[in-house]
Amino acid sequence: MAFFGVAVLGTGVALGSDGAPTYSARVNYQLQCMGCHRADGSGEEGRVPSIRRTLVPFSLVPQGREFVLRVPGVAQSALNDRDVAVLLNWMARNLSDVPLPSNYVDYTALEVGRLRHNPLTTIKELRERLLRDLSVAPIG
Amino acid sequence: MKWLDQITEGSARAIARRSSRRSLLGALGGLLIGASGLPLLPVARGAAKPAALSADPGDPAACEYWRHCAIDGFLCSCCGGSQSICPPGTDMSPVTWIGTCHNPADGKDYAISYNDCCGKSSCGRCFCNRNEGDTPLYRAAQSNDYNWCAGDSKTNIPYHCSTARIVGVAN
Repeated sequence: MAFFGVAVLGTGVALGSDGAPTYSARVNYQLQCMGCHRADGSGEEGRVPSIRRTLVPFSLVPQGREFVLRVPGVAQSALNDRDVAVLLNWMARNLSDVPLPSNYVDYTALEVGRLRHNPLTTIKELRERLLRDLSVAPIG
Repeated sequence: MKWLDQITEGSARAIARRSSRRSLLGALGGLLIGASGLPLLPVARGAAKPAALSADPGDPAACEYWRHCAIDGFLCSCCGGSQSICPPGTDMSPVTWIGTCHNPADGKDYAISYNDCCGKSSCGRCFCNRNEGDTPLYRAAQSNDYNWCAGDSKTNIPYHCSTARIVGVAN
């Protein structure tokens, strides 16, 4: 796969415009998220949130999207804004128990950049409120 | 107070490495279970089967093994397990960190999951600490210095050994 401004090496690793390697969304999930959220995004009940049950429902409302982009694991990740957006959209399609509805709007680099530089510091209460407001069952 | 945990962990590991009684027991234990280290009891396996490799060169019980490019701990291959399977009596901590290593046989980079095996005291054999591509501790979730056994409520904190599971090709 080739796209503007990026060179592709023989190993299949793409280079970003600054020369640093950029991985596919699948691999970025492995390197940045899987260590805690597990290979399938299920997390660990009571300790590590489930992506499978919450990413898509959260992404359908503005407060939920803001939460996703400001939660420290996303906001403070080593990924640039574009790679965060690509990764989140990949996760919504590949690591979700909730099927992607027709009104799902892809995250964009611009949207990521607007919110990630203000990471959340109190997360638990906000997450619980979102779960209540969106009627997502609280397990995980 | 993680620094206190780390200091305690480090000194415990250092003592375990140097202790002649432990290394004698370790050697005897190795003889008892067989030099190949085949487990005799049911073992805890990783969550997913390792990806099939076209080539996997080198000795998994050696520090120079290609998957060990960023490992920090005792090699489970020397402790009754393997590079992807925990020894009998230990459980694999599902919370871990994941890095990449270069496979010299096929020229590809692979994502490696360094899950710790937990629930028994330190194996004490084949200590290996490599830090290729390491940086100062900018991101805790990408450090090999932590006792990752502490991240799981089921396995408890005692650290036994480290695996090097292949998650996939890093492309």
